[in-house]
Amino acid sequence: MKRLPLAMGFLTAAAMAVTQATVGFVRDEGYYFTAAQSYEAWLRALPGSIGETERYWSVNFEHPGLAKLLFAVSHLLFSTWLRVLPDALAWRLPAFVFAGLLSYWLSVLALRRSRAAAVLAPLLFWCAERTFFHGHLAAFDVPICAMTAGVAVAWLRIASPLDPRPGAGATEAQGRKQLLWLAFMYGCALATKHNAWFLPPVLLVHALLIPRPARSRALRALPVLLLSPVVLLAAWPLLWHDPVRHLADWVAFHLHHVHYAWEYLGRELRAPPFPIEYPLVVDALALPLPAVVLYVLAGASLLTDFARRRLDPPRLLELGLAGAAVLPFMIRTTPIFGGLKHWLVFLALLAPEAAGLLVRIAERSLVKRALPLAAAAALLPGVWQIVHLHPYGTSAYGELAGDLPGAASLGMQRQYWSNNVTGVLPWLNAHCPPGARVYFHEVNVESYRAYLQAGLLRADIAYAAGPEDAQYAALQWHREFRDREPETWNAFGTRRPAFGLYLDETPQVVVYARPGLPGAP
Amino acid sequence: MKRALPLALLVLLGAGSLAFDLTLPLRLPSDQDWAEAAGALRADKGPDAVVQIWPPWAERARLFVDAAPVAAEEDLATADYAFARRLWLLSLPRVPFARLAAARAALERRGAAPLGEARRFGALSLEEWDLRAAPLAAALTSMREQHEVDYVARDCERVPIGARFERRGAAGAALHVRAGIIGERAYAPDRPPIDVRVQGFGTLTVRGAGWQRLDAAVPPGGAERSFAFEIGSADASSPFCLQAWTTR
Repeated sequence: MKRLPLAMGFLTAAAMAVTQATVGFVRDEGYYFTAAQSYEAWLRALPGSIGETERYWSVNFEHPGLAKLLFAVSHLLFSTWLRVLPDALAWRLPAFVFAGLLSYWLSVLALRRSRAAAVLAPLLFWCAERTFFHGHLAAFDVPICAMTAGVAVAWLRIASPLDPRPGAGATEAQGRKQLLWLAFMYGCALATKHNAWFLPPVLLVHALLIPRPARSRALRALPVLLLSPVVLLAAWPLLWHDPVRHLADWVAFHLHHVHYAWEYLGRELRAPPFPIEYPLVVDALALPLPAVVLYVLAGASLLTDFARRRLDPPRLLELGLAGAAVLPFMIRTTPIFGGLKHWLVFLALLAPEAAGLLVRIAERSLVKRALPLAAAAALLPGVWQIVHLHPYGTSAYGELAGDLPGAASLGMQRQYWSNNVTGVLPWLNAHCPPGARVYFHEVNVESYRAYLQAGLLRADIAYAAGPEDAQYAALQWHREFRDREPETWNAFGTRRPAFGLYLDETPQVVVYARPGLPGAP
Repeated sequence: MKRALPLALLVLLGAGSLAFDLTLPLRLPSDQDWAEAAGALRADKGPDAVVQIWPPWAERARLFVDAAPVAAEEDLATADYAFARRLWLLSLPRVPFARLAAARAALERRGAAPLGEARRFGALSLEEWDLRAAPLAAALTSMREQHEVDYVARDCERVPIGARFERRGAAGAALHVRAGIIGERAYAPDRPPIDVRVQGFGTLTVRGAGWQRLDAAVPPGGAERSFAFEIGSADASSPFCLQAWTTR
C-alpha cells in the first residue's frame, strides 16, 4: 500500500462524507434505496430467506448486486443495528468508499509519473461539480469508475509491474496472488455495472500491443478472468436461482434500453442516431475550462505517442480504457441520457496523464513555485464551481458554455434526476399547511419517501399524482416536460410562481401554490 | 521565456476562467432589479401589452411581473402575440450568449418598431415595442387555458380529435388558426396527421411537431360570423390544441 494514494483516498472519502448532507436523492437512488431495503430484509432473514432469494432480489433486477449489497450491509450495520447513522448516510457510505478507492487508484496510476502527479490526478478528476456530485450517490457510476481503475492497476501489476527495478519482479506465489487479485477485481467490476463488459476486450488488445516479455505474461493472465463471474455470482444472489434467465434479463435490459429525451444544443435528442461528438461536447461544456484543456492535451498526448509507438504499457492501458469508456457513446445508437456520468471512466483514466502534463508544464518553465501556480490555475475554477453550485451537480456547466446561463441559452439539458428539489424543500416545509398535497413532478415516490425518512420533508406532506390533485407543485425545469407548467397554471388558476430554485437566474425548480394558500403570491 | 509559455498560458486560462465565474453575478439581475422593472411595467405597460422575456429561459421574471402576461416565445419573428399590440422586451443583455441583437432583429422582421430607448434596471433591460399588429376582432377559442405546444405555452383550447363545433364572433378581415399537439406526444414517430377543417377556409394539417398555422382573408359578409371547425385524425388519442381568432 502506498501512503500518498492512501491519503488521497481517505481525503476523498472524507470530503464526500462531509459534503453529502445537502445532496438530494436522485431518481435512481430512490430505486437503489428500495432495492437495498429489500436485500437488507433478505440478509436479516437469513438463513430462512435463502429459499425466497428471488423474491427479495428481483427488486432492481437490471443491475448486478455488489454495490446495492454494500448499501444494504452498510445500512444494516450502521443504521439498523448500531443506530449511529441516518438511513441515507448509511446507504451512501459505500459510495464514499468507492470514491476514495477511485482516488487511490488514480493516484497509484499517476505515481509512475511523479508524486505531484499522484496528488493532482484525483484532484483534477474531482474538482468539477459534475464529478464531485456523482461521488456522493448510492449509485453505480463512480463505483464502476473506481473498479475500472482498480482493474487497470491490478492488470498493470502483471502486465507492467509498477516497480520496474531489476529484482522487483513478483515471485511465483506473488504472481499467483496477482492473478487472483485481478480476477477478483474484475469480478467486482462485473458485479458493479455492465460497463465492465467492455474491459476484457481492452485488456486483450492491450496484451497484444505491449512488447515482450510483458505480452506473454499478460496473455497468460487473461484466462484468469474466467474466474471473475464467481464474484458476480457471489455478490448477486438473484443469480442463485435460474441464473441463465436472470443474466439474459440483465443483458436484454441494457441492449434494449429506452431512450429518454435529452436537450443538446437546442435540440431534443429522442432516438438514434445521436451526434457522434455528443460525449466530447458535453464534457467540454460541463467541466471547468482549464480541466477541459488539460483533458484534451492528455488525450492528444496519449494518441500522438500511440501513433509514434512511444506509449509505455500503463499509458497504453489508460488510453485504451478511456477510449473504451467513451467510444460506445459515439457510435450514435447508445442511449445518451444522463450527461457525462456514463463515461466518467473516460475522464478518470485521462486524469493521470493530464496531471503528468500539468507537472511537466510547471517543471519545464523553471519558474519559482511553478507547480502550485499551475495547480491553482488548473483547479481553482473547479473548486469555485463546487463552492458555487454544490449540491446541484447535474446543473453544472463550465466557462466554455458560459456557465449555467450560457448553457441555458445554448439549449443544453438544464438538470436531470430531480435531486435539485432539495432547494425548495425548506420552503415547502415552512409554508405547506398540515397534510398538504404536493406534486413533486420528477421526484419519484421512492425518493419522496427517502426525503421523509431523512427528515428533509415534513412527514405530513403528501405526494400528489399531478397538479390537478395538488395544492402545491414543485416543477423541475426540463424541456421535455414543458407541458407540466401550463398544466399547473390551468389547475391552480395562476401563472405566478410562489418560489423557486434559480441557479444563476436559470429556473431549476419552480414552486406554485394554489391562490389563498400560505406562500401563494 | 519560451519554456515558461505553456505555464503562462495555463495561468492565463485559469485566471480568465475564474474571473469569468466570479464576475458572472455582476451580469445577472438582483431581486431589486426585477422588482424595479416590474414596477416600471406596472406604471407604463399600457393597454394590450405582453412582456416577452429574453433569453426565453429567464422565467424568474414570472415571480415579479404581474402587470401583463409573460411570454417566453423562442422565435420572436413568428410568435403570434395574438392579443397584444404592444410588447415589452424584458431582457438580460449581459448574460453569455444572450443574442439580444438577434431578438431585436426578429422583432423588426415581423414589422414591429421600438418605441424609445431601452431602460436599464441594473442587469435588466426593458424596451417597449409597437407590434404594429392588426387589432383583435374576436377570440374564437378559449383564452382561459394555456397548453404547451412545441415548447411554448400557448393560449389555446384543448379539443378532442373528432370534435365538430362552431364559434361565433366578429368577422374582421382575417381569420387565424393555430394548432398543434400538446407535450411530448407530438414527437412520437409515425403519428398520423391531424386535419383541422375550417368550413370555407380550407384545411390545416398538423403533421409532426410544431405550431401549425393557417391565415386566411375573411370574405365580405356580415359583421359577425359563425366559423365551423372539424378535427379529424386516425389517432384519436392525441392531446390536441387549437387557437383561432380574427383580426380587423
